[in-house]
Amino acid sequence: MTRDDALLSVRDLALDYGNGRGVRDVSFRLWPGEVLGIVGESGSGKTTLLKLLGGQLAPDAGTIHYRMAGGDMVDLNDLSEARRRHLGRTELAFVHQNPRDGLRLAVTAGGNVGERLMADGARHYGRIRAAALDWLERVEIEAGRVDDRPTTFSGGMQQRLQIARNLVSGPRLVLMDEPTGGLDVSVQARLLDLLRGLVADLGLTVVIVTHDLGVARLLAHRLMVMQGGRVIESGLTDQVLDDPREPYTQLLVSSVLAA
Amino acid sequence: MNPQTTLALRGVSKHFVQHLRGGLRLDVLDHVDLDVAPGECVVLDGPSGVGKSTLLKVIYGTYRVSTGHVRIAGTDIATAEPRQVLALRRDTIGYVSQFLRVVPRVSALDIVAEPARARGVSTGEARDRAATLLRRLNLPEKLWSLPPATFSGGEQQRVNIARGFLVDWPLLLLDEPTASLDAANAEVVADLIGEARGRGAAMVAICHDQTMRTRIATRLFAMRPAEQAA
Amino acid sequence: MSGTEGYNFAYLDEQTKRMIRRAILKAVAVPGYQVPFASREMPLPYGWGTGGIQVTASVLGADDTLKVIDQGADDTTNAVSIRRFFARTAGVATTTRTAEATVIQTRHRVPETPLTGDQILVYQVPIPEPLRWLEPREAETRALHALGDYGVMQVELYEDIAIHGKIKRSYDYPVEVADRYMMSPSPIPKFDNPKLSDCPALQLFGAGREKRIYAIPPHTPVRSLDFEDHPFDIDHPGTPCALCGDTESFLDEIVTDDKGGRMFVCSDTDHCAERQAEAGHDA
Repeated sequence: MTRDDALLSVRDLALDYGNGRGVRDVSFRLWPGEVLGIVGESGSGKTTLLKLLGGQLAPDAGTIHYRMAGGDMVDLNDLSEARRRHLGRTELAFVHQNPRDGLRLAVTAGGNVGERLMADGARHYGRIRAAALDWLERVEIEAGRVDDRPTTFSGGMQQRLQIARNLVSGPRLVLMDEPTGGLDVSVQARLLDLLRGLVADLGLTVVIVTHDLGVARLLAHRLMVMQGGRVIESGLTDQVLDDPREPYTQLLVSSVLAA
Repeated sequence: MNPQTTLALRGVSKHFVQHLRGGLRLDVLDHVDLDVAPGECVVLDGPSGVGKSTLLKVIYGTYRVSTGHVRIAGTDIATAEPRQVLALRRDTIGYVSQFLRVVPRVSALDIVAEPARARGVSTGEARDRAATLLRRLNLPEKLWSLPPATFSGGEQQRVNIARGFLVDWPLLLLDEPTASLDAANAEVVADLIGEARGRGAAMVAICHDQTMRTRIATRLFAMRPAEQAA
Repeated sequence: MSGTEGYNFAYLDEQTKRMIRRAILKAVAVPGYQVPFASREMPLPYGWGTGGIQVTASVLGADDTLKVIDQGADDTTNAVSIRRFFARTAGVATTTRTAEATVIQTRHRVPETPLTGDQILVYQVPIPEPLRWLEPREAETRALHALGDYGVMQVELYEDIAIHGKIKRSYDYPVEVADRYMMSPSPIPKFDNPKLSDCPALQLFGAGREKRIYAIPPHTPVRSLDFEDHPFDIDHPGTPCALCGDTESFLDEIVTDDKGGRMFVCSDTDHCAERQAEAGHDA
């Protein structure tokens, strides 16, 4: 594999909110099948970086090159709105921390899962429904709930539904913002294990933002540690967690009971 | 570097700086040179705290060296990119740690089968291989489908060992592989090590048990405490 | 024309009519696209057809014959008021006969009698945006139209089938015009949707409160949204009209007394009267 096979290539990305916060000088590459964890405390720029990658925010400077399924390399910020949206419902996926931000609450579970397919032109009800049922099973939601609205689901189920809704279109790059945040520990464990299995089975490329080093340890191959909008340390997950070099990373690692 | 060596360490030093303790510097490895050839099982020798585990973690790439080179199958893991290290761990370096990192809800059988699946072996075949090894290590079959979180230390260690011997790693790192095992199971591990040597695997091991050590080691590598910086 | 001195022909001033005609031309040029226009205050409340009246006023000529229907009927308050409004302000001939009219303003129906290339059908539209209930932000619905991003409406139809076993929406059933824009056909019954496609008459839609005009030019393909395995289908009433015996027209339910008596009659009063007259001749 050469360097050019990277799925995502980020260079000198910067966004200043105008109050000195934001992100600065972020550069990294991501290869197919890799899971990159972004860790750091609140306000360190983790979520801002994820939103820049997902196109929800436009950077002040820097480039985000993405290799499309066809092999072409495009700068996500230079794409037309039409292509960006198309990419956003086919090859890219964004899992929000709060499932309510990523679901249509007035639409049934099946409709939520089927939306990306329909947005991409699927017009066969039976096949859309079969795909929805298949995905509900994969995220461990019983088939009997397919016509229930997410408002009747528990937090853990809503999050699993959001994941199904995102993965149904077979995305190549999945961005996750604290997907286990706000869930009970036991519910978290189930979701984490589910995510771990899906990532491995589907060979997904993932960028996952988390402040939970246990989550990072379990899911991520590589970590970037952010502080004050910069990446201060990066490397393999066990390198960063077992041999942290920066003072802040050492503080982060020593602050958890066991990661 | 001798083309026959699987692993070659040159001038490897490792120190830790503990920023939370006022920048305290701990020198653990000081200019270590080591070559390991196919079929060798080198047992690290020295008192506790001399850096045996640190050396294993340096070879595995978990600890980034301060100076020196760690060449494995043509790649210097000391300077390799993260994904090159990942590739080495998938194809070249196996690691049997002392403790099993338990993944919630994943069965013992699948934990053991995972390295083969990562190399593209079908789930069915990977599980068959895993079953063969677990049977050989006398892990009761009723445990195979359970997550090992509730297993005893010896049971967890056997899961770890099976995982380490599932595929033909050219380089295998063993951290006290028989510490929690009874004599019969330790003997199985010794046989596995012998078989791996027979197919040309190079091994670096930590093993305090004298009997076991003489049984598996082809050579001892003496380690001395590094000079502590003031 | 006593009582209308000082008013321009068809009430609106010529500048306004020109502005509206420009909007209409643009709407015809881009079938199904909602063209903004500077809707004027009209001497009747929003919801009574202010959009349709402004469109009618802008296309009406002195030699036109106007028909106005409300739910298919020529004799309801809304239809009568609007017909009288144009009789007084434009002095045009009016009729209840579909075949004789050159301009037909309608609320909630398409006439049963097939239209011709010499006619213009003007629809009164309360909510022109078919995506409004799914996406409240106007900027976003415009973007969705611009990008042809209509998956969300398909989700709506999916929901109907999932919950009710079929697409339950029976009026204001969304259509795709000329393979491009999604359009609200106004609250006509879906029974009328097939009449929109390949229609020889020009169809204009005016929404006064929402300030939008859109159009279906003559002989434009109009497709009702559906699924391959749940194709668009209209419900046939099953019973014949109690007055004219038609089994294929759209029926209204009329309650005839306070003892549960009811009858089903054609919603299109002109169509029904024609058939009754023909039957009388034959007898």
